[in-house]
Amino acid sequence: MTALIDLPARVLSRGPDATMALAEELVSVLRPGDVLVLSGGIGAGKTVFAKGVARALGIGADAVTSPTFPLHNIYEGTLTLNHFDFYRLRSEQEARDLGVDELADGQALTLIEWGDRFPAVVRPPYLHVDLELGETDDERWVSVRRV
Amino acid sequence: VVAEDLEVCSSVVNTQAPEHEKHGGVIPELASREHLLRIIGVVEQALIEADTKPADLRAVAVTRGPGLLGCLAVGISTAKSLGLAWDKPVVPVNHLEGHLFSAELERADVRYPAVILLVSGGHCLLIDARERGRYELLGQTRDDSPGEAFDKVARELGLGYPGGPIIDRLAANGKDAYRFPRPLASEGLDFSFSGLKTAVRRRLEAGSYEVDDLAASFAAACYDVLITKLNRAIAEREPESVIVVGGVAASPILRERLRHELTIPPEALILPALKYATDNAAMIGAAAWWQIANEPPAGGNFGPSPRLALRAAPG
Repeated sequence: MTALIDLPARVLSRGPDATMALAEELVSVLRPGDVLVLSGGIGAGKTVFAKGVARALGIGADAVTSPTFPLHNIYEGTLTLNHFDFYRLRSEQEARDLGVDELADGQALTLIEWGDRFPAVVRPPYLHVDLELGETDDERWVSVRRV
Repeated sequence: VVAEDLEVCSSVVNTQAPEHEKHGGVIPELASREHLLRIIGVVEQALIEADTKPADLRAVAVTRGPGLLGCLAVGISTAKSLGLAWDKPVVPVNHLEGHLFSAELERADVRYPAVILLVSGGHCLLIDARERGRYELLGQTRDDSPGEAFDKVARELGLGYPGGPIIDRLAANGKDAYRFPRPLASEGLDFSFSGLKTAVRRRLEAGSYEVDDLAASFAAACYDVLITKLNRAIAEREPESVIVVGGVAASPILRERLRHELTIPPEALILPALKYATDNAAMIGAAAWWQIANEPPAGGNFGPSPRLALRAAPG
């Protein structure tokens, strides 16, 4: 069950470090079993956000890399981190075949990059984190909403 | 089928690319189903082309990981069944180590210590091999692999898959007009390609660009970083050889630049034959021969290892 928190609608991050700090802040109010869908197009900072989540779980941020090719990476920290990526998938069935639901259990946090490509596959409740490019190269708008 | 001196008797690549082109990538469940349907035919064809009987084989080698669980499981269960039926040991091979041996196929002149760059869709690793089969990781990507960045940029441009050859083709007609950033070029031996991806996206969204120049600018930035890191590793490690392997090593533009821009004698640069740069079974056979000579037998008690890392050098 997703934590009940009041989130500001949209926050400006000044750069990757600030995006990771935002992610860490978010993790502090999450509960085991929670699922985060990350969206925002290429180069928006989804993997940077994932690194922040990992750091909050005691996993080295440098160890976390893009899951686009492997499709599913698993990291062990204070909780298991399931790191999925729907970028290369072309159907809901393929997304289901990855087994997101089975793996999103009470011992894990689950992140799904490009999860907005097949939203029907992700069972609510979850948090949708969207990243948009800002004015400068480093700036990002980060918005979090409950689904 | 690979002989002990790393002569390739046959190398059958049953590419799934035509099926995947429609889908823009390798799809896991589709891929493992396809694996299951095709693997026996591939083994038979490899034996026929090599004019070899199962009894003549020393061992059956199979990729243990890293990779997609379903595909690894198909390969391993097939290899174990064949090992049992033919009474041959089964050698589990790390896919990454297979790539590292791909440059040695059909050539015996690779000298160590070597600096090895493995660049592909899923990987970007810079390695010091003090001796054959013993590795120290010098650097790796902190976010994307170059192959992945090529695929994503190609898709943003509405081009096909895989992105590398398409971008390269366009880049040959363009110039480095946009001077994209060279991420981490000035520090250390790790790589980062996601900021470069962002820079390309900003250029695309700004709307004013020539597609040939965009491809050339993106490729130039990627290859500049690879060459800069290689030259830094060469300065630090003073290797006898530099080996560049993986799908990105098939790029004609990169190969040409490596020949001219690395700070080593030309004969010290080792590039795999084009057919062995991308994923293939022969390289797994090559790595297996090293393992047979240098490691205790694995026995039958191993399974797929999707996140398998490189073995570190001892000490």
